[in-house]
Amino acid sequence: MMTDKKDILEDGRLKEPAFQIDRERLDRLNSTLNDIPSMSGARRNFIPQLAPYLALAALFIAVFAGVRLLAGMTAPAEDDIAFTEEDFLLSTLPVGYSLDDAEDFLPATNCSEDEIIEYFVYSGIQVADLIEDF
Amino acid sequence: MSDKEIRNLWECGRQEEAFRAIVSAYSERLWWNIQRLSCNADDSDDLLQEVFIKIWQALPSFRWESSLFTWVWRISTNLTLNYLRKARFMSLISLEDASAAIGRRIDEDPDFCGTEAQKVLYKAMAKLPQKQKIVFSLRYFDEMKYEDMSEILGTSVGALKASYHHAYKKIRAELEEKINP
Repeated sequence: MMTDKKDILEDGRLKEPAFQIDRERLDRLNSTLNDIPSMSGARRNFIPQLAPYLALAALFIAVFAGVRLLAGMTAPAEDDIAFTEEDFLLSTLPVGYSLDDAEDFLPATNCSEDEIIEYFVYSGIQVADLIEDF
Repeated sequence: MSDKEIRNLWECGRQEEAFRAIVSAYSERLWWNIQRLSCNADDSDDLLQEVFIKIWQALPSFRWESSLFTWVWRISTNLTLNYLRKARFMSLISLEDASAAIGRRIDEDPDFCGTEAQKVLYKAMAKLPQKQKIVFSLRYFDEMKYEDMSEILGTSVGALKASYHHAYKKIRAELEEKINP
């Protein structure tokens, strides 16, 4: 239902200044404001111009660091990838040898001459086979 | 002096003169706007100085194709919003409600020379959310266009109208309750 009551906020007196402010106060303030350039000196502010480039550099560094961090988390431990003397010896073996052969073969490097001959005799390897392999 | 004349001064290298022209064109209106929101003349002085220091520092990077009026008001409004946020934070520390603090300030302020209705109006404004308070002040007292307010506050015209409508209703209800029961 519509009422005849006038909108109280339409009263123009409400918009009038409600604080008694000295004209001198505002003049003093204006004079202080006018002194701002001489106080701070005429200077060019380069920060806003450099800001996008700095932001881009920061983003690049953040992405790089993030990738490094992720790579570090997913990479195998150093012990797993270290190249040992045993690996070196294995890598020098002919391709045809299996790992079992290699395990048998490696300790033989410290064997005496008699032990080597005994090994050949018991394993049935002929000198001709050895020449053929090499 | 018009914004165009101020621009000419700046581009001729008369930077301090251009700055002083901005001070003379905007300072008083900005001061009253801040005063209405803070209800404290000393805080308004400090805040206005901060506004013009910021303007002086940012003037070299200002693109003169955009509106000087909007830019100056945007700086002032942002700093006023920061001030209001800080005031609310301080009221949390002192355990006194921010709007109650403004109400007490108005009651005790010897410079307050308004009517009882104005006192109720300012106290009701203090109770509004910060952005609504600014929207109400810009529209009701400064009679600023919604389009300009939209640029200053970065909010759509529709949202501003809704915000002003809510603020207007709340304040009118409070005035009717206390002044015209």
